Amino acid sequence: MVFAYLDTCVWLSALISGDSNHQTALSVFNDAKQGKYTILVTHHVLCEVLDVLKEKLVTHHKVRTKPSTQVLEELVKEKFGEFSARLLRSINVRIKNPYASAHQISYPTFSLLWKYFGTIAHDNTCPICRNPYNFIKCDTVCESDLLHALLAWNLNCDLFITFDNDFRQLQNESSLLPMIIQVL
Amino acid sequence: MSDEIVAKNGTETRSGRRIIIKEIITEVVRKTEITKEIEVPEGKPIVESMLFEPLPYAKVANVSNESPESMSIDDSECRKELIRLLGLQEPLGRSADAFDELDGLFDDIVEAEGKVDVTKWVRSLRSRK
Repeated sequence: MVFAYLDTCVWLSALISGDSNHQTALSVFNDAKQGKYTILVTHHVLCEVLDVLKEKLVTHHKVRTKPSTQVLEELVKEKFGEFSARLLRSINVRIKNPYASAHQISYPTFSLLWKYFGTIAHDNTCPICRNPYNFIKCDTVCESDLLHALLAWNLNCDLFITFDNDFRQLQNESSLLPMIIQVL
Repeated sequence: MSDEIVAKNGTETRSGRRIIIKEIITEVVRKTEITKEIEVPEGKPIVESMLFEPLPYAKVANVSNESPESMSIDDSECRKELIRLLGLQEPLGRSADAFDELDGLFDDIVEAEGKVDVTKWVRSLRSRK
């Protein structure tokens, strides 16, 4: 039996059929259903799901038709409620935060952020207007990525599952052993 | 309805700076005997449904299909808090079908986008923090 932490992108991918990793995310769920994994969910994952809902639903036709904070809030809370109710009813899923001090999470987050710079990514187009432009960005793990990894480690998870390639940098990080970072 | 704890034991192993504590708690549903008298109208056959109405705790979680490792992790406090905050209805029994219900649950939030890349969404969200 494996204690697994699913990155937010794995949850969202299962929730949205149009995502390219949808079937892979469902196969992870299927493994949990069969008892291969116990999935641990932290409030950090729930926060990101809520953030994504706020960001995406602001352009929903119901909000566009009647743009008001109340309409958006009702819509977000309705969708999040549907998600939570199913999450709470799923077998082999536990909502859990580690009993760790802020220092035990924040210091290693800083330390790993200091250590990993990833690569410089080049793009010949502007990411916003798509016109020709010499766009450069730092392609690496960020604070929130590390926070997830450290929460999972402090929960004694055996496996951290994500679709985000940035996490490949952490696959040989000794301070996160024996947890395995699996980029699907 | 309350559960009765019948057994509790645990192990502790130390590996470097990590301490792994595994606690196994075995719970059973409290045994209740109900005596009731039913009046059957004259001329009507006595059928089983008259004798056995669903008991009030029939809706309680059927956790028999969960792994022992999952059952060893108690998240009841987090569950209660979330249920209270979101105004959900208790009790929420656990079922394997709930995973199937999650499949495509957020499809309508991307109504005009077709194919999406949620990993990019999450990366974009995190890079703005």
